[in-house]
Amino acid sequence: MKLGPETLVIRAEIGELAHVVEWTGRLATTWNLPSSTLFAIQLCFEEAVSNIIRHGFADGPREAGVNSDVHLSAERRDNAVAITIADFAPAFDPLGVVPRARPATIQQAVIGGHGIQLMRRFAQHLTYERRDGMNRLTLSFDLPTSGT
Amino acid sequence: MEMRIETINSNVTKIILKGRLDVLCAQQIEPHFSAVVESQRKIILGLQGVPFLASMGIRALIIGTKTVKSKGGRMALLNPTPDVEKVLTASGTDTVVPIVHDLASAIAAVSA
Repeated sequence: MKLGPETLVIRAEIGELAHVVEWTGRLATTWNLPSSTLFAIQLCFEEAVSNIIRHGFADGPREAGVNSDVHLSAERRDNAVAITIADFAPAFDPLGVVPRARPATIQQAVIGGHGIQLMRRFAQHLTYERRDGMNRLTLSFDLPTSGT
Repeated sequence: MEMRIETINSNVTKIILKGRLDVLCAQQIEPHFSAVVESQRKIILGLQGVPFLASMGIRALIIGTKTVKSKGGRMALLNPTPDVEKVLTASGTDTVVPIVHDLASAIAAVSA
């Protein structure tokens, strides 16, 4: 069984994430996804898009002179949901970032920078490629066997 | 995002949050949350009504905890949902702010 892909194009602006919340909520209802899967998908979309806005377009998309659209897609297969986040920001492979050690004290706790760590924890499979001038991050979420 | 404040045992402050702690909503409560953590020393943060937590929410929690601890106080996180607790443990937040699942444990954690 394969449903989708469903796509959504947003601007690289924080306010656009409200559309992502609404869109993924509708997909979860249509595809009968468990609440924990919706949580993981929404978390990963938020972290990925926030990173694109904060780091990929740090100088502002107008100044950077690049297309600031972010292309989101989601597809449901029998036992998994796959999402892709694609953008035109400068090349960056988030999977190349070294995981941070857990803080032992509050002084060691870092403010910010948890996005990639969270994506690694909540998605079962992550892949990155640079293709056609776009960063493409794909994450896959296994569904419970009873969740068909 | 809504925030309500209760006082327990005359010296413990319980902040009850209701709503998503995502990038859209976390910034809205930050000034109000900051005002409480600046002035109180024993803070329980009730998370039962928070269905979603992402990086910006973690940022607010860590900044709040750093503020409270810098003034000699303590904070505890009460009753996060399972998914929210998974975010807290994945980010390492649980190693610097205790997560508890009943009010008595929360009071003990901030009063030690």
